[in-house]
Amino acid sequence: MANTKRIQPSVQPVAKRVKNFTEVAMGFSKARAALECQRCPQCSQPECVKACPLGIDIPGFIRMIREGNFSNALQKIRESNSLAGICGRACSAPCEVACILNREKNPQPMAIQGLERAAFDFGNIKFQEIFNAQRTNKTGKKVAIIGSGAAGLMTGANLFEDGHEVMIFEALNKAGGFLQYGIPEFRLPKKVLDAELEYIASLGVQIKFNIMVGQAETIQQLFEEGFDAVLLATGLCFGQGNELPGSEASGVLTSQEFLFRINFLSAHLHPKFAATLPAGKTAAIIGAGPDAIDCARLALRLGKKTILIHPSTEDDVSAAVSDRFQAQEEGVQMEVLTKPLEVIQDDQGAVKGVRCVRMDFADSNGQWKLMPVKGSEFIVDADMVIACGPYTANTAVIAFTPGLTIQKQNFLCAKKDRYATSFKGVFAAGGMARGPVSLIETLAQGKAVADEIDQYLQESPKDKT
Amino acid sequence: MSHFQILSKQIIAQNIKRMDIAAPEIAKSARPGQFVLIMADVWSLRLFFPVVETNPPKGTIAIVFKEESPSEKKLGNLPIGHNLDVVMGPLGNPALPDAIGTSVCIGYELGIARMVPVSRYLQRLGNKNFGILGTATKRHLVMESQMRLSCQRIFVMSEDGSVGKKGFITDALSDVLVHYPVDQIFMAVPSKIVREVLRLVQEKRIKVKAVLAPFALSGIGFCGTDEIKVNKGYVSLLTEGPIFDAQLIDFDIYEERLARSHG
Repeated sequence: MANTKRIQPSVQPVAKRVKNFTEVAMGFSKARAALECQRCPQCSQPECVKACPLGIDIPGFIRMIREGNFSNALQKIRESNSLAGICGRACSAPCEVACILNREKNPQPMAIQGLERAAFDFGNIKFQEIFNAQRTNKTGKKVAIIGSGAAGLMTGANLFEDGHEVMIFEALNKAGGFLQYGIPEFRLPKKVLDAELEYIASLGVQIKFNIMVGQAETIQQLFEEGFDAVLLATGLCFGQGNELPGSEASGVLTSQEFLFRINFLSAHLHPKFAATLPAGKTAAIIGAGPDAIDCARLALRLGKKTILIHPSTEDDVSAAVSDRFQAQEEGVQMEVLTKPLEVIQDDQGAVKGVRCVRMDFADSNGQWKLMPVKGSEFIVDADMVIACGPYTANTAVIAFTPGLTIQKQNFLCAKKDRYATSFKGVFAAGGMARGPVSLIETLAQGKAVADEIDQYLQESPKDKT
Repeated sequence: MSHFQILSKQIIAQNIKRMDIAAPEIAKSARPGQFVLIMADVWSLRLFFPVVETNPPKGTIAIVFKEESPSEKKLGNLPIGHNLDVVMGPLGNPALPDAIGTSVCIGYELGIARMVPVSRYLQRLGNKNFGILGTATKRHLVMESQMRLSCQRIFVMSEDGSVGKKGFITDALSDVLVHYPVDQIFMAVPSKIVREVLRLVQEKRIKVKAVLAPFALSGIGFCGTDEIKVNKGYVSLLTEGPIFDAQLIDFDIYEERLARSHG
């Protein structure tokens, strides 16, 4: 089949978008979405489905959009993914990489993510509610989910579909976890997140806010209150111990702090909001994950010169290709193959720069490895440093739960593809289970842990003492 | 009485207010030294206040705070009867001793409020308890009567002589150390005074604990803003604090992070 040109969803022009915080991708119109769908070869053994950790029936929903039936397409996606609107915007889209149209000389993969977004944008939510109201298979089992981030919401929705009663405990006053405070408005507008939260609530999943489980209420107390299983999905926290020398300087922030200040506390709207941001004209961002790219693009929108420092190659940047491309387009300077060595401070203890060394591949005992290049040390001038990682499981709950032990590499689950922790009846998903994973993998974990909990509940005795 | 309703509000010193809030679950479970997170409104910062008093039968807690930052001023200006949206807690894991001996509780101005529950706890254990209250001037002295009730004897020291004796906390502590065999000292004072106290007890085998003012940005432990350096390693003030061995705390880092949390 001829590889016709991919129809790109529209995006805000670069000059305009670097001056605002509104969504960069503007999505498809209905007509353009239907046109893009006509390019789909409808493979009999679709590679895109195999590559999607959630196994969404991609050709299926594309067929429905082609027919102009966006509500059915949304329904088809919801069968595998309860957070379709979020994935349509913030997913790293491994399906597009696997698409067979990406393999030819002139790769033009299907714009699957844009189409998923179109299904959410134009699909009828009311139709969903009617469908969900028909579910009546209650098991009488109760599950407590700690954390209302992507993993918690996905697990909650799936467990509810299995017939269990679900209560999510959230320590913040808004639901969404990292989706709320971590992903900037220009990638995931709050109104989309709110719509998804409304959908999850319409299923019957309840969320209790401002409860710090572990401290205000222990895991043991939750079991005593009648919960049959507990899922820990409180995400990651900034892990101390591997920090750069000099990182106690004022002006050094963790990515989580920077993102929280802007996305949750609206520090960029100071003085209307009380939170502030550290002053500085040049921000050095250390890391290359999606959080690093988000920090860089946010710093740019705050009028700062932004330099991203990453010790490996550009291909090893773990953020989605489109985000990386857009960041560079907007003016984020990428110093790849550059290892930060030390944060340099001035006499007042404030950040002055980052001492770095260039990296290159060299033969180390018969293996090509990235090694520092001798004599290549240099200083990146910066008056603000944002450190993106390393991360460990959020210890806020673990510290107060005797019997819950950290397994290898500071995370809670030791066995591959299993989510049970050392505490009977307690499971973990998302970053807490085995470390940082992409959004789509987090959702896949949410789905898998829901199956594991469902199985656990089916095997556990019906009447508790 | 609705949930998180402000039941009373009192000016107890210059720019310092006491607020009683309906929070039955927190009142039931808060231990001495623990604190709560409060947001005055959606535009404010997430503020942390030690739980100064609890009344489990009535279901109320009391906080004492200085109106310095815009968020604190907003909270202080809320009327009696207002329902707060965000009151989270109790937070913190205060390491309090269970041994009985002679203890000294030292508080400086607002820090005295942090010492009240600790002092009461030590008294309940059967400790011989002394209180040293420091202030620059009479207008900044808080909760003297509460400390008086929980201590065998208190020493009020003011820098301008407007209340108690003219002098410094260290003057009173020197006196106490001469006359009594002190086993442990708890203090909620600025780091400058901590250093002076540590110098004073250097030669003696006395445990010195600092009751730190809690701070964080999110309050849920993911952003690293509540991490302070204790014994050369970073620990979370939220999950392991707010009481630490004073000798082991890096006060430069603590002060820098505390200042950053105000904006």
